[in-house]
Amino acid sequence: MVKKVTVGTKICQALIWLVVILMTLSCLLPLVNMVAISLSSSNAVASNQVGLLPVEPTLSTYQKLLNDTQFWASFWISVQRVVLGLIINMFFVITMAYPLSKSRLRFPAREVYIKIVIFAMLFSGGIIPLFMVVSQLKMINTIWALVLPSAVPVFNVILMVNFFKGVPVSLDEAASIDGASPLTVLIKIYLPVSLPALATVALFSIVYHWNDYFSGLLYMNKATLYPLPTYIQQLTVDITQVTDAEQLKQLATMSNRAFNATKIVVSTIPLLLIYPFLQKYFVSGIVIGAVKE
Amino acid sequence: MKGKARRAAALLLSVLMISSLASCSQEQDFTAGMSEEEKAAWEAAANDPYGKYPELVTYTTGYNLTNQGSDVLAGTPYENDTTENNAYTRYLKELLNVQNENSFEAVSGSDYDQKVSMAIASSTIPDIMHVADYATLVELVESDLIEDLTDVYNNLACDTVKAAYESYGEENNPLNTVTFDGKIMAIPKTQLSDGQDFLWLRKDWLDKLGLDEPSTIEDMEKIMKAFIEEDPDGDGQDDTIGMVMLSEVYGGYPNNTFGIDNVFTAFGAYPGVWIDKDGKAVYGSVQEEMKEPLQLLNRWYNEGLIDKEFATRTNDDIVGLISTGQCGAFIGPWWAPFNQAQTSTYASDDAEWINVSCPVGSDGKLNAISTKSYAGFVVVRKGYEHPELAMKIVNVNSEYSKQDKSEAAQEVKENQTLAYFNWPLYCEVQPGNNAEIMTQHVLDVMDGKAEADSLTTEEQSYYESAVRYLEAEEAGNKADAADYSQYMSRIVSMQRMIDEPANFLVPSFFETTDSMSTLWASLEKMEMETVLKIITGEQDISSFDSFVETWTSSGGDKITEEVNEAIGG
Repeated sequence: MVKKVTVGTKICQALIWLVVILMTLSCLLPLVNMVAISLSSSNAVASNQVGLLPVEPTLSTYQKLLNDTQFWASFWISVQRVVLGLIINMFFVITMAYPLSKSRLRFPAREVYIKIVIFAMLFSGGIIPLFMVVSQLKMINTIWALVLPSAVPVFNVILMVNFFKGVPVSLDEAASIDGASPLTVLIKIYLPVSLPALATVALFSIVYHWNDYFSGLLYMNKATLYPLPTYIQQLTVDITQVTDAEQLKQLATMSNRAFNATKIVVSTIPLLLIYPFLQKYFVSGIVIGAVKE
Repeated sequence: MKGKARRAAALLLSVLMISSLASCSQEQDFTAGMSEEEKAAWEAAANDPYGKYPELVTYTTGYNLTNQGSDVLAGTPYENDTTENNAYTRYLKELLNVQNENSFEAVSGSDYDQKVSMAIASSTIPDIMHVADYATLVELVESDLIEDLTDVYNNLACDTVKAAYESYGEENNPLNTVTFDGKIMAIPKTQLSDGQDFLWLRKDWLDKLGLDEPSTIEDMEKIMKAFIEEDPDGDGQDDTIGMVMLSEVYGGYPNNTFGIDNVFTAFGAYPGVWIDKDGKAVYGSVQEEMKEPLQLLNRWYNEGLIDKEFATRTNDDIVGLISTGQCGAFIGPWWAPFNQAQTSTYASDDAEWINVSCPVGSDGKLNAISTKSYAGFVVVRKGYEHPELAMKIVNVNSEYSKQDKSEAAQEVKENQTLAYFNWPLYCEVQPGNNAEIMTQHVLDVMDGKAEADSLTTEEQSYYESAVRYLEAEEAGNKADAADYSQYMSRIVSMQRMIDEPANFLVPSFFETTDSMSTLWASLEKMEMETVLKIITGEQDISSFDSFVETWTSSGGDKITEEVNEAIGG
């Protein structure tokens, strides 16, 4: 009897491992391939010889990248965007989620606001009205066009509301009795116990701002103002969509996948660095034990 | 409550409308307050095809970037050039005293088109811009956003431009496309005829196996058989592929390198285009003639003559197969030597590529498909004070810069091969067979029939590439890849195109119709699936008839009707 269970458990374990490993590989292999391409000679890349290991290894594309002014200009724009976007996002998420997490007794209009927020999450005006608003507000070609239209990430607000709701009310009450204002309660009580949720939301927002290429394409009218993802998107424009013969002749001579791979690899480094740093917070800041009932 | 909300909405709406009205208020006449003398100077400049303006004229425009990235000019004297200050803009400034200011920049293609539609939607179109597709031009004309250019064209178009348009013939004249109610609303960019596709073969393999240049479909089959069975690469292994082909099989003639349209046209089938049948336009892919080539391809597939895995190969995979010397045959256009597949085998493998007219139709000539005569339009914003400027820039681009041998033009010439697309308007008007004409000029110089300085600046750069290539080869060295590509395509392959003319079919319709936007994608998918299944043998050839039936009943008939209406009307 006991043996049977063990065998079953073992098979289950093995299956779980298998699935997890397969999923990990499917995420990891393209990345490894990209790194291998970036380190290979461009001839080997053009003839599709590169798999998971570099062929004819060389660092020449990395050297070349150091001199690529537009890449670093775009990199800097992206860094600015992430910092600014993160601050703005976190401010709005926290200040909006906190009141919305209060019970209906303390905040009667709560339901109305929640409904507006959800409506805005599900329906939008579309690209053209959005573009017109941004352009009428004279934000075209400025960093504000990249951060303000996405200042309130609704999904993150809802996530945060739900997390705040889970914070024991007695914490709030205890602090209030001691004379803390709502703002003090938010800063001194809610935020410290919400670190895991804050880290998650911050990560979402960083990843969004670092990876989003479309707003750069839409709101930036000069190639020199493109943030990094837009710059990279331009490099990988699908050649098969080009229908002009003269254009094809030019493009045929310019295929430089090794160099493009280098740019992509370098552009993922900041995120790779941030991930483990924030992961630490996922496990800390647990609410258990803060209150004894 | 409700009434209040409605009133608020109405107020908001009227505020919006007023503010949008304000944004398109009338422009001031720029000559106001000028002396008679100044006015005359401006007038003279505006009426001269190459007249220089008395003061710098700054025009806003949309700028076509290419995805050549910033590294194309790196290491050249032009590496600090920008889109508003490069060889071409400096030249235009020197010549006409004009300067572009880019309202937007984007890579040509869908990104650029999106910028254009955003500009139209927010009614902020630049003074002069290039629009890529016909539907956008119609939209601009219908919403009265662009200037009538009839007078500008009649007064200012240079002879080269006028002759170029006329060279397309009365029916196919690009000006027809931009004429609305007798008014010329845009300057059309011409689409060079891309000529016919060729069968590109490794000559070194042919020689090794003792094979002659093929011409008929049977010859082609024989060669492909020899390429897989007789070990042309001489490594003692059975690892070669007869011919590579695109997973889409055909389409976009002749811009798809590796597409095998020619195998179909040899049988009189014209897949993917609208053709004329008994005075009515029909879709080529659903005609009876398709059956024979499909059956042949199925047999070739079964015998392994064409790549067994073609359906899953990407363009990069195909280039890889050729670069590593696993395949020595593909169908492609005259500029195929620019493809990395050829440059890399030239450098590493001593490959010698030739283009042959094969497979030919019943009259011994290749059957090819014509491209449309226009490729985009230059339009001028309604109310812009210098509408003639657009025409003048096109003149400089198409005529003046090519004949100018002055110091100023030198930069332009050098950039021609580096960054062709930096022209601010990206609109060159040339006769359809311009590529052939240029090659003929270069050949005359190479044969000693003409002097090198009779060449235009563009031709000169091709001539110099050819000379460099031949010198390197003679000295027993490998030429630079760019010179190899220029020489092979502009001289060798183009000479074949001149010597062996093909029959050209002019499709009866190039644009899209209303129902296509909703129906075409699924019809195309159906077509592609059927073609692939028949070639790979998953379905019998008899399934072609049922495909045609389903195609017709699921919207094909409606679209065919619309196409015929569009042509008739």
